[in-house]
Amino acid sequence: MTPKAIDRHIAPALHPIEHISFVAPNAQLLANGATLFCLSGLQNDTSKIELHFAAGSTTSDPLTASLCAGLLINGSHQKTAKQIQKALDAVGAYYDVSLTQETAVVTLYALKNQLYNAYLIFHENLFGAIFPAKEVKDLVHSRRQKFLVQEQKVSFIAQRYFQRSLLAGSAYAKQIQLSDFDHADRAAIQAFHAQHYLCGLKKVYLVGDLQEATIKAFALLLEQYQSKLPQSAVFEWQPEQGATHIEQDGALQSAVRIGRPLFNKTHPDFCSFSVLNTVLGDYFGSRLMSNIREDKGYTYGIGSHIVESKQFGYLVIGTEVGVQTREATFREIQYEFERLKTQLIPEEELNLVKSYLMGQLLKSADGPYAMLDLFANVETVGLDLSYYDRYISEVKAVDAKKLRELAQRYLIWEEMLLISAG
Amino acid sequence: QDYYLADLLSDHMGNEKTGILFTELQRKKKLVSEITAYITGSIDNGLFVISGKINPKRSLSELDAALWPLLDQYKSKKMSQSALRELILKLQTAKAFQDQGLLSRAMNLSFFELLGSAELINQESARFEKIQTKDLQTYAQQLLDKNRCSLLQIQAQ
Repeated sequence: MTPKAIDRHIAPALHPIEHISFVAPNAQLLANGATLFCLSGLQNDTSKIELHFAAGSTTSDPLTASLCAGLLINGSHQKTAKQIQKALDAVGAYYDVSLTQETAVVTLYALKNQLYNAYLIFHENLFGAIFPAKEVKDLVHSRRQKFLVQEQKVSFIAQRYFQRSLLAGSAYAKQIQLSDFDHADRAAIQAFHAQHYLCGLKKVYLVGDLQEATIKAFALLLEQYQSKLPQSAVFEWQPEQGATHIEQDGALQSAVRIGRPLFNKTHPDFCSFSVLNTVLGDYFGSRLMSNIREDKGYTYGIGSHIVESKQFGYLVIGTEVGVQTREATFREIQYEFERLKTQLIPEEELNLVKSYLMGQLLKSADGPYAMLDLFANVETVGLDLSYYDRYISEVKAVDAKKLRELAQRYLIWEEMLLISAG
Repeated sequence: QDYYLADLLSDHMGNEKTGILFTELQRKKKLVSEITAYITGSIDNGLFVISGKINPKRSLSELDAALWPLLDQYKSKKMSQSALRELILKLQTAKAFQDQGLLSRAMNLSFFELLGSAELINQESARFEKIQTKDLQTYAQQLLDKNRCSLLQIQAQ
C-alpha cells in the first residue's frame, strides 16, 4: 500500500477539542474487600500492576512511613536486596514506590508475558520483608544527608512552614524533623509494614492485554492481603492567616508562599475556578508571570496552583525572588488580585486560556496509562469519568463575569496566609 | 550504533540498586551518598556522564582511586551473556513504555527524520538485539579513557 504523499510544508489543520472518548477499567471486588480495576485493549506488550496501600505519611509518623516505603523489598530471610533486585532485572521489570499523605502506591512495570512473574517476586518478598538493620541504617544515613542539604534552601523552609500553618490542627501538619532521623526505629518500621501494607490494601490497578487465567491468578495472590482500612475521620483543620517572615542569614533569594483554603474537584466551583487560577498563574502567559517575571524581572518563575487532597484543597502561589524585591513582589501579587476582582478578563485572553486547558486535558489523556491516571484521580474522591465531560463543558461555558465573582469571593488579600523565607 | 552501546553501558554501571557504581562506591566503600551514570541523547555526539555527591570527610582523590579500577573492569572483561540479555530486556521494556503516548511516538518519528530517516525508528529494536558482549567491551575500551574525559569538581567552601 503506497501512503498518500504528504506535503510537509503545509501544517496540519487545527480543530477545536470537542470531546474525549475516555475509557474506564472493569472493577471487581476481591474477597478481602479491596477493589481490583482491570484495563485491557492496549494493543501492545506493556503492562503494569499498581497497588494502593493505606500507608501514607499521615497514617503514623511521617519518617516511619517514608522509611518503610523505601525499604519494602530490601531483604527477606531468604534473599538480600541485591538478589531480589537482580531477580526483577532478569524479567525486565521496574518498580517504584510513591508516598503521599494518604496512600503508598507501589507500581510494577513489565512486558505482559513477565508481569505475573515479576509480581510474584515482589509479593513473596513483601510478605517476607524483614527490613535488615544494615539496610535501615544506610537509608537513614542517605535520607538524613539529603534532608540536611534541603533544610538550607529557602524554598524548602517556606514550603514547609506554609503547609504546617495552613494545615494546622490536622494530621497533615506533621512533618519530618532532623532529630527524627536519630530516633529511626527498625521495630516501628516492621510493625508499620505488618499493619499498613499487609493488612492495608485499598485497591489495585492492573493494566495490560492479559489472559483471563492470568488475571484470576493475580486475584488469588491479592486476596492474601487484608484490607482493614481505618474509618475515615471527619477532616478538621484550623488554617492560619497573616504574614510570617523567616530570616535566613546570607540568603540571596526569598521564597514566597501565599495561599488559602479552597476545595477539591468535588466542589461545584472547582472547574470554573480552575479557569480563573490558570489566568492568574498557571501557564506561561499568566498574569503573575507576565507581571512579575516578564515585566519586572523579579523571578525566573511564579505560579499559582490548586492543591487537592481527598478531603480538602487549597490555593497556593509560589515563587523565589531576589531578597530586595520581596516586598515589591507581595505588592504586585496583591495588585493582580485586585485587577481580577475589578476588571473583566478580555475575551481573547479567556479564549486562549480555555484552549490551553483543553490542550492540557488532551495531553493528560494520551495513551492507556494516562487515561487510567485520570480515572484514578476521580475514583479517589468518589467521582467517575463523567467528571471530565462536565469539566470540558464548564470550562468552555464559563464567562468573564462569573470569573470576576469568583475572584471577589476567594482572592481576598486579608484572608491569605503569607509566608516568606530568606 | 555507538549510542546504543553507550545506553546499555550507562544503564549497567549506573543502575540505582544493582549498578556497580552504587554497590561498590556507595554501599561498600561509602564514598558517595549518590551516584549515577547517564548519557545525554541528542543530535550531536553527546556525553557519557558519571555524576555523584561525595560523602563528608571523603575526598575526591579517594573517589578517583576507587572509580577507575571499576571502569577498567568493563574494558578488561566481557559482560556475561545472561547479564547482557537482562540489560537488553530492561531497556526494551523501558522503551516500550515510553511509546505509550502518541506525543512520544510523534516526537521520536520527528527526531529520526531529523537524523536522516523516520524509518530508523522501526530499526531500534533490532539494533539492540544485535549487540554482542565483545562490542560492549571494545566500546568501553575506547570510551573510558582517563585522557579523554573532563572532570568537574564542585566543592563547598
